[in-house]
Amino acid sequence: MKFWHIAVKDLKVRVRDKSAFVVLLILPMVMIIILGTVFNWAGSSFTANVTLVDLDRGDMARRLTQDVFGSPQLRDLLVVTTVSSEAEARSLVEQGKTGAAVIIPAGFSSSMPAGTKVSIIVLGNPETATQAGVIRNVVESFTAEVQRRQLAASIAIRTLQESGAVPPQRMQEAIQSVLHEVGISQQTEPVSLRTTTQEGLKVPRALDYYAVGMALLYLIFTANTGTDGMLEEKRQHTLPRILATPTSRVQVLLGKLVGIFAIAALQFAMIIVLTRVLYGVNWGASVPAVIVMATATVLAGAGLSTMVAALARTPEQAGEIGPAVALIYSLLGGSMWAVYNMPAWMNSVSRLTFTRWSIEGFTSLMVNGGGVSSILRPVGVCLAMAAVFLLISVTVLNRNYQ
Amino acid sequence: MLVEVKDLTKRFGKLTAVDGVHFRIPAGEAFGLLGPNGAGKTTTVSMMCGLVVPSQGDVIIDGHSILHDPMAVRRVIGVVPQDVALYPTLSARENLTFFARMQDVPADTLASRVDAVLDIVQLADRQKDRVETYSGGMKRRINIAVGLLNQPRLLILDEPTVGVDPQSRNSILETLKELNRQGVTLLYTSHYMEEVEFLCTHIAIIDHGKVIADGTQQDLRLQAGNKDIINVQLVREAGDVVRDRLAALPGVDTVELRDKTVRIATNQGRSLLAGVISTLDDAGCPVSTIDVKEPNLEDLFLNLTGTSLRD
Repeated sequence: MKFWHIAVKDLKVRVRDKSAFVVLLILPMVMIIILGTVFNWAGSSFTANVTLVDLDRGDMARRLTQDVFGSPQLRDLLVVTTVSSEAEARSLVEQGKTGAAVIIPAGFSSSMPAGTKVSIIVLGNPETATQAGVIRNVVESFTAEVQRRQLAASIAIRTLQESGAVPPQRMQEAIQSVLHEVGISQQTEPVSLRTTTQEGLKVPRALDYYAVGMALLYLIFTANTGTDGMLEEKRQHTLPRILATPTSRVQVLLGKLVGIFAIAALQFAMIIVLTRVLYGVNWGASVPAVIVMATATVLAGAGLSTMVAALARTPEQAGEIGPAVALIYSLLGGSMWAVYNMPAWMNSVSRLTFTRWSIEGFTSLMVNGGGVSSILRPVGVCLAMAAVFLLISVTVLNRNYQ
Repeated sequence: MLVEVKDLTKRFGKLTAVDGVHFRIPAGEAFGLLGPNGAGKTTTVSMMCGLVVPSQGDVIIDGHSILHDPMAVRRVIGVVPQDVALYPTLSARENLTFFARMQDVPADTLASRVDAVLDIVQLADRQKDRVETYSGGMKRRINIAVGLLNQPRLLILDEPTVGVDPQSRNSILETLKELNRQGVTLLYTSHYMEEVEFLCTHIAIIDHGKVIADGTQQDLRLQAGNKDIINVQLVREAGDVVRDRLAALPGVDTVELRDKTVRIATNQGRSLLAGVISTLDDAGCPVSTIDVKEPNLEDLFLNLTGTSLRD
C-alpha cells in the first residue's frame, strides 16, 4: 500500500501548487474553447468544395450533377461550382482552390445503354486528400448504382430474348421499356454520403476527431508535468530519502504512476464531459467503453511520463527529452492532424505511438458506436505499451542506483 | 558490534571514490567520520543505506548485510541526508506522517511517533505550517526528525548542519548529544572538526576515499602530537638571548624565533603564559599579542595529509 501513500502525497503536492493546477485543469478548457471557436466546432461539420465539368451534357450526366451533387442530403456538405473545361478544373485543383474536380467525359450518357466503358475522372491533390476522398466516394456510389442497373437491364433483356415470351416483332419495344425502367423513367435514388477515406475507413466529424486529439495532447502535456514531479523528487532529494527506507523501487514507481494517472484521468474526464456538454461531441454510445479506452490511454501516458522521468538524469535532460517526446507523440499520433491525411509511411510509423491507437479506439466508438468488445485491440495495445514503459522505468531506476 | 564496515570500496569508472574503508561502531557510540569535501563520506554513507551498491566489501548493521538484506538494514537505520529532503508545500506533520509510512511505522503508533519527534526537535507548535515557511535551521531540525521516526538503532547523519546559523547548529548538536545519551548510536559525518570533537567519542578521519586515522579523540590527539603551542607577537624584534631565556623556562620544549614572532612548544600550555610574558618583559621585549593553541584533529589532518580540512 506504500504506492498508494506516495500517490496521495503527490496529489497533495500537485493540488497545492496553484499555478500547476491552473495549467493542468483550467488551461485545457480555455484552449478547447479557443480552438472550438477557431475551427467553428459548434454546429458546423465537414464541408468539401467540388468543381464539376460536364463535357457530356446528356441525361445521365445531368442526373449526376443535379440529382446527386445537388441533392438536399449533400447540399450542406458540398459547395459545388461548375466550370466549362477540364483545363480550368485542373488548374483549380492544382492551386488548391477546390477540394476535387469531377470531369464527366463526352459520351457518358450514351455509353450507358450500349454498355461501353467510360470513366468519370475525379481529380484531387494531396493537400485536399480528405475532400477528394469524400467526393470520389460520392461518384463511386453513383457509378456503382448505374452499373447495378445496367446489369439488371442486361439480365432482364437476355431473359426476355431466351424465354420467347415476347414476340420478335415486339422485342425492341420491350428492351426499350426495360432500359427506360432501370435508367430513365425511374428517378435515380439519391446517393447517400458516407464520409470515408480512400481506404474505406469511416471517420468522425472534425469536431469529434479534434476533441480526441486535444484530450490526448493535454494528456501528454500532463504526463510531462508528472515527469517534472518525479525529477522534483530527485532535485529536492526526497527520492533517495524514500529509497533509504524499506520501500522498493517498484512501489515508488507505482506510486508515481498512480499519481500521474489520477491527475491525467481527472483532466481527461473533464475534457470528455465539457466537450460533450459545450460542443455536443459524440464520444460514443457506450459509457463503459469510453471509460475503458480512456483508462488504457491515461495509463499509457502515465507510463510514458514515468519512463521519461527515469531516463532523465537531470531536470535539464528532462527539459529536453520531455517536450521532444510530447511533440513526436502529438505529431505522429494524430493529435495535431487527422491520421487519415497522413502519408502512408507516417501512417505506419504512427502505430508505434499509443496516441494513434487511442485515436483509433475513440473514433471507432464515435463512428460505429460499439461497446468494450469493439475496442479490445487498441485498449490492449495501450495497456501493453504502459507495461513496457513501466518495465523500462524500473530497469533504468535500478541501474541508476547501482 | 552494531556496525561493521568491511573493506568498503566504490569505483565510478576509473575514479575510486571509497577505497577499502573499514571501521566498527559499538552500540550506543557516537562515531564521527571526519574529512574534507570530496573525501568519500557521502558515498560511504550512501553504501551503508543501500542507495549505492559497493564495488567491493560489505556493511553489516545489526547483523544484516546491506548486500543480502538491504530492507532489514533500512528498518533499523534512520538517515538524515546532507540536503534538506522534505516536501516544501507540505506541513511538517504531513512530511513526518508520509515518511513514517515509508518507514513502516505501524498505523496505531504513527501519530504518537510523529508527536514524539516533533517534541524532540521542539517544533510541535509549528507542525501545521508548510515547511517552505520555515527558517533554514527549522528545516534542518525537521530533516533530523524524519530520521528518528522509526526509532532507529543507528542514526546516520551526513553533514546535517551545512548552511545552518551558529545558534541552530548548537541546538542541533545538543539534540543529537541528548539522543546519544539516551542510547541512540550515531554515525556523524562532517568536515567541521569542532562538531565532531563536540559530539563524537570515536572518530575516523577519511581523505581521498581512505581512512587515514581512526580512534578515540584522545588517541588521535596523541597521534597529532601532545604539545601546546604558545604564539607570541612582540612589539620589536628580539635576539638569540631572548630565545635562550625562553628555552630555559621549565616545561618549554622548543622555541622558534623569527623577527617579531615567537613560537613555543610546551606540554604546560596556559600555565606557562605568565612566565613567558615576564621573561620577555625582563628582556626588554614587550608582548603585543599572545595565544595558546592546543593540539586538535585539524593538526592531525594537516600532519597526515599536508592540507587543511577545509581546503
